[in-house]
Amino acid sequence: MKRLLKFLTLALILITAGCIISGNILVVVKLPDKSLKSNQDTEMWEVSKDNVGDWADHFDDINHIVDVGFTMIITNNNTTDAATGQFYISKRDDFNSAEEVKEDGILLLSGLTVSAGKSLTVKWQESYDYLSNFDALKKYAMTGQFYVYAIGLGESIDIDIRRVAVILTINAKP
Amino acid sequence: MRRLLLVLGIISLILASATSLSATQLSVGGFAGLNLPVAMDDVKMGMAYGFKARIALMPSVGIEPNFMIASYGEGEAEVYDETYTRDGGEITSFGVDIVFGGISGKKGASFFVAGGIGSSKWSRDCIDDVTEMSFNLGVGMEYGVAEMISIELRAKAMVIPHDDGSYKNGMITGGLNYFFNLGGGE
Repeated sequence: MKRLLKFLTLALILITAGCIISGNILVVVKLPDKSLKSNQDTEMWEVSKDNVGDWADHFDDINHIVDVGFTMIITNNNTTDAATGQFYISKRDDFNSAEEVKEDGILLLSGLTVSAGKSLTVKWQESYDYLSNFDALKKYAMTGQFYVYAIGLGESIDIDIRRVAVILTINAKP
Repeated sequence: MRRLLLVLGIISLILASATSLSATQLSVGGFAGLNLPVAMDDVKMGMAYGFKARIALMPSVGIEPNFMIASYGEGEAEVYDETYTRDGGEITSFGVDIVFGGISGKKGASFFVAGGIGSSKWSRDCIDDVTEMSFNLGVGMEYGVAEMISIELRAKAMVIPHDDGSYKNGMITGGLNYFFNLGGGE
């Protein structure tokens, strides 16, 4: 009986401690609008804790990254050709060409195709349909800073990428 | 997998020791209620349901092997004045609790405290499952509406430790139990 009581006491301590010291915190990182104007054109965003209060406030107390998703609206301004986009992540911010990004970056989002003259809204839940290398993304997010690169692919690229956001869930002490 | 085997081993040991102790009562029951995430901004309230058995080892001590599914409501994020949602997923859990208190299955009200361990898996669309050993502790009231039938109301806290952090839930469930008197005791 004493052992049972000890076990239950331990479980109670664990539960109480867990309740007090950590929680899942949702962080939305909004990124500026960008445009891609030619085939293999590349744009870059910095994703940094320094621009987001909740992320920066809890950064030293993060236990792990729970989840990372995206939202964005991609508009194909070309009325005759479809456009395809790819997104990569890297810790580097000095890539000079799409080739360098593809060679050294990690593919993040692919399969994003927008018909001529149309827009594609990538919602939070839908972003996982395009996402790959999730573990690498979580590792980068854990460091507090990384770079996202967009590459336009198509005959005559003219796309706007608007309302871009990274939705991050961190498990951290309050 | 090792954790799963450990939990299965513990359940087997407890069941084996229970059968050697001239068990007096066995009950089976189902329960359903609310799953309330605690300090989890990324999910909302969901449902919890499952079933359990209870083996009385002594008049006021029993063990409860149990199985539960607890869903989360969709998470919501405000982005550029729009609300986007994300599947919350569900936790599938099985384990064993130890129950102290009124567990006789007689008519009338009784109160109990229950706590235990389990193996819990949080499955969510598009990302890897999280499977960990979980801990729970709760209190409840059971009311015997007939000689072999009782209803119960239970509130419990469940913690799933993971990577130096944890996922936490509060659960409020109602249930129905049926008792089999196996003889040899009260």
